Amino acid sequence: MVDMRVSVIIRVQDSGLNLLGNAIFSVYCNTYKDKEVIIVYHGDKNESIEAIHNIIKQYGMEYQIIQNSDITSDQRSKNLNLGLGLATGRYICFLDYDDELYPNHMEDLIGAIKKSGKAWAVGRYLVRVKDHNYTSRMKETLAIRYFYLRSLLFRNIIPIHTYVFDRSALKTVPRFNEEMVLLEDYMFLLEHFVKHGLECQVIDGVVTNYVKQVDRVVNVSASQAYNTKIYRFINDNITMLPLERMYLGARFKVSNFIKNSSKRNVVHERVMLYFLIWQICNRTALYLCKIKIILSLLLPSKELRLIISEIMSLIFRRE
Amino acid sequence: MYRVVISIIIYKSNLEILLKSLKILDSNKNGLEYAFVIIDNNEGAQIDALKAMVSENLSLAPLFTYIKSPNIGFGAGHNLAFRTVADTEFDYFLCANPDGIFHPDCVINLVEFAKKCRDNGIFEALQFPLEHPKYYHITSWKTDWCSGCLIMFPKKVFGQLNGFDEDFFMYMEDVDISWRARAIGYKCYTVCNALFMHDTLNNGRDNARMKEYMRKSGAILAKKYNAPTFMAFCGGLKDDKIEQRQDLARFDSIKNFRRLFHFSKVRW
Repeated sequence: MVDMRVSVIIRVQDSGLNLLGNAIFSVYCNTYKDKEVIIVYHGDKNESIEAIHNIIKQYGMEYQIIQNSDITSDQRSKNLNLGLGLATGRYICFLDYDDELYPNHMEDLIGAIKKSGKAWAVGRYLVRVKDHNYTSRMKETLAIRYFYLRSLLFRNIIPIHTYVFDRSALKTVPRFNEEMVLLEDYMFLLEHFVKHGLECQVIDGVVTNYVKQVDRVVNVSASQAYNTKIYRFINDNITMLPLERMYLGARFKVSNFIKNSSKRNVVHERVMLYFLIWQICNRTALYLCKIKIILSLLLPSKELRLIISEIMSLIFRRE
Repeated sequence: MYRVVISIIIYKSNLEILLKSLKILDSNKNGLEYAFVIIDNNEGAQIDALKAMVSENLSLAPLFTYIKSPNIGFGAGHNLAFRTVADTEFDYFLCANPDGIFHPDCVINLVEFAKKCRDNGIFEALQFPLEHPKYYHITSWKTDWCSGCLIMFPKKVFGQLNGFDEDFFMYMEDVDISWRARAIGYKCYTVCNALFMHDTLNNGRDNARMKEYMRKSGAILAKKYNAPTFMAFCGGLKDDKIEQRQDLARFDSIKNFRRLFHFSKVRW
């Protein structure tokens, strides 16, 4: 493992080669100096490998290309594990071929890891809605700004390219669950969270663009199946309060319903009920938060404030 | 083979980023011929350091011209660069910010698109990773004005426009030159396959000072294009020299102050 080096793992397949250039350009523009790029190519065409070499050679960066030529199935998780196996850096970050890093990404996140002594650092991101070359919208998601780790159980709020982790600070290097073809990044964080906890520093700066292509086709039934897997994993492995469990159930059912576009126009009574529960839980959590703040301001004694704070933390069970 | 002159104004700039950007051009000439004019608006304080870096790292080093100058501002700096090379043969004059990085295909895509438009326009690169929100047409790529972050002019167009208006010290000289170009029949284009990294989110600039420059330039633009409401928004004009200017342009169909400092319809 090379100290101070960051390994950027980028996975790509034939259909993404035209966008790969921008992803690599964003890595080149990063102000952090000691970096290597690892491209995992999922495909069996020699000319594609040649094309990848030609793209990356333009920048004079250190790089490796690894090929996964088994194209009988989608192997997103395996591709990332292949990249992890090849990485020589102490710090690891991932990037999809269609996403982009800001120039401060590595320097800010690695700086936060060093400063906090934590193993992970995560930053904010902007969503870029794209129709081929044309960006119709850039917006910020606020999820990460008010992030606390427990919220990871309810929503996949950390895209794969928004964080960096320090391998030397982890007991075991995490690996992607190869059973997962979709939501593998979400499961990756959850599994690590369950096994070891997630010592994570959140920074305030924007570090990446999450690119959404408007014409991207999503396999709805597969997406629902993996969504359900995630739900079961959380349900089976994490102790939750009844309120949280109710919220989680409602959240996943609504999200599966929304994903199923054929039912979008059907007002489904049961889903609406779940939605209502979800909303009520959301509100309740907000009110509890407000009560905590008001109490902490009003109570004169430091000890009392601490006791109240402890009780509230138990209710929230924040990590 | 097309010849492109690249003009860069430096003032207490980060030379490492500049070198990174120039290295891209050095290793990806794409059949273009380059010449570089570097104007140091800080009396040449960084020229020696930059010269050393360029000659050590770039094969293009002999094509560089360095000029020491007092702090005359963005537009005047580029005009000085243009005057320096005006008598030489070249096709395009490209003004680039020193804190950005060229994509390997940036300049060639700009040139190819300009050729497609028969050089009847001015052309800006797309800022990356955070785009400027101003609108451009999805297929024709026409836009209301071109940002000076990276803007390319065919030589004859820059000459015809007499360059940037030197009354603008910084900001909005690009809006002004774009409107003047449109007024004489040229179009403005956003060449969206030509990327130029320019991180406006995290560049750590002194915001208060930048806002003051924007306000001043906004007032000049308002005076020049007869926009009293925008003038009031910018807090008025405190420069007698500009107050007395008689060559005031009024392009009612072109100017757009409705979106305040965007000067254009916006995408978000």
